[in-house]
Amino acid sequence: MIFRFSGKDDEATLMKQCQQNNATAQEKLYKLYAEDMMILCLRYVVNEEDAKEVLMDGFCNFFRNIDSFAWRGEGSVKAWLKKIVVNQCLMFLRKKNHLVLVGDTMVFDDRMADADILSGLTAKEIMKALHSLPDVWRTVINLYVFEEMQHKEIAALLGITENTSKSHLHRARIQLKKQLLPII
Amino acid sequence: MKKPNDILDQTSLSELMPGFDTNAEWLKLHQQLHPTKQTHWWQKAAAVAAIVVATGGGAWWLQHEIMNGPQLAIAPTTQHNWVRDVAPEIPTATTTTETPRDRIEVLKTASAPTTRHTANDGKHDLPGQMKREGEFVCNSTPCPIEICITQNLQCPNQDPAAIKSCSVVDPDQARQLKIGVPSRTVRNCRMSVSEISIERIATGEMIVLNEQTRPATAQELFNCITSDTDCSLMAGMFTTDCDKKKKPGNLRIQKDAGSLILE
Repeated sequence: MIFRFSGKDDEATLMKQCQQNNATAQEKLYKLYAEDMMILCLRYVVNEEDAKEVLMDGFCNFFRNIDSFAWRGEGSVKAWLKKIVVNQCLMFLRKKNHLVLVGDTMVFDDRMADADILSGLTAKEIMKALHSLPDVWRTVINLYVFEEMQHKEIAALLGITENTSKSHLHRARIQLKKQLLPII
Repeated sequence: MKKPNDILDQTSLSELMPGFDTNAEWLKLHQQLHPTKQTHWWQKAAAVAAIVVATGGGAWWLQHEIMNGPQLAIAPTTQHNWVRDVAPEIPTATTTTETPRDRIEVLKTASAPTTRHTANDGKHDLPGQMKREGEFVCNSTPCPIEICITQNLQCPNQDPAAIKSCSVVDPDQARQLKIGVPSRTVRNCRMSVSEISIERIATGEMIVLNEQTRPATAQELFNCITSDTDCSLMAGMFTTDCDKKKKPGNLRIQKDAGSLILE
C-alpha cells in the first residue's frame, strides 16, 4: 500500500512514513539524498563500484534503523544519514584492510594546516586530489576537512591517538600541496 | 574563496560520476528492503505437476472432442461454438488447473457461426496459439485482489470477440496472472487490451483502467505486466483499506528484475 503524497512533503512526514516501511516514502527520501551521499562515498572510496556498494549498504542501515531516529528539526535526517554513510565507508575501508592505522609521530607544524589547500578547486579537482592520497590520509583529511571533526573525535573513531591523526592530516596536506602547486 | 565542503555540496553527481543511475540504484535497494518471496523447490515441483496434469487433461479433452465432433456440431449455441472455434484450450485450462476464483470467459462472440471447425482442421490459426500466458505477480498489499484483463480479438472473417481473464492474488502471495490471449498479436489476428480492472475483494472497491484512463491506460499496464523490461506505474487509488476504513492509498505495479509486484 502506498500513500499519496502532496507536493509539500517535509522531512518529518517522510521519516514518519519511512518508519512505517512505506516504499514510496523510502524512494522519495532515497532520491532526495542519494546523489549527495554518493559524492560523500566517492570522497572516501576511490572505486566507483565499491562506492555504490557502500552507498547501498549505508541506505539499508539507514532504513533498517530508522525507528531509532529522533526528529530534531530540518536537516537532522541528512545529518544522521551522513553519519551512517561515513561509518559505512570506514567499515568498508577497514574490511578491505585499506585502513591500517599505525602510530605516526611525525612532528608537525599546525600553522601549515591553516591554509586549506583544497579551497578554490573545482569538484573534479578536489576528488582527483583526494583519490591520489593513501586511504588512511584520505580518511583523516575527509573527517577533518569535510566532516569537520576535531582530532579528538577522529582519534576516537579510528582508534588512534590525537597526534597520529594530526600527523596523518599534516602528511596529507603536504602531498596535496605538492600535487596541487601547479593548480593553486 | 569557496570552502571545499561548499564546492562539493553545490556539485551535481553527474559531473563526477555520469554513469550513476539513481532509479536503477533505488530498484536494487528496494529489492533488498522489500525482498519478494522465494519459491521453494516443492512449490516449483507442484507447479510442474499442475502443468503436466493440465497438458494431459487438455490432450485428453481435445482427443475426446475430435472423436465426438459431429455430435457436438449438431447442437450448437452460438457462444459455445465460438469458444470451440477460436479458443479450444480455454475450457480445458479452466477445468483442469485453475481454482474457482480464476476464470477466463468470452464476453462477446461472432454473431452466427455457420460451421464448426475442429481444433486441427487447419482453417484457423488461432487455436494452437491461443494458449494462456501469465506473469507471476506478487501482491504486496494487505488485501486479496482480483485482476481482470479484458482483451479484444479481431481475426479475419470473424466478428470481434472480447475475452476476460481474471485472477485472484492473496496478500503476500505470488500467482501466475491469467491472460486469455498472448501479449503478441496472434497470427492473422489483432489483439488489444480494452480494460483491466483491479478489485479489492474485501471492500468491492475497483480500479478500472481503459484506453483513456490516467495515470495509466489498460494497455500501458498490460505492457508493463507482459514486457521483459522493468517498469513502474501507478494504477490508481483505493480510498478505503481492507477493513473498509477510509485510508486513501495508491496502487502501484512494479516490475523489477522479473518480479511483478503490487504495492
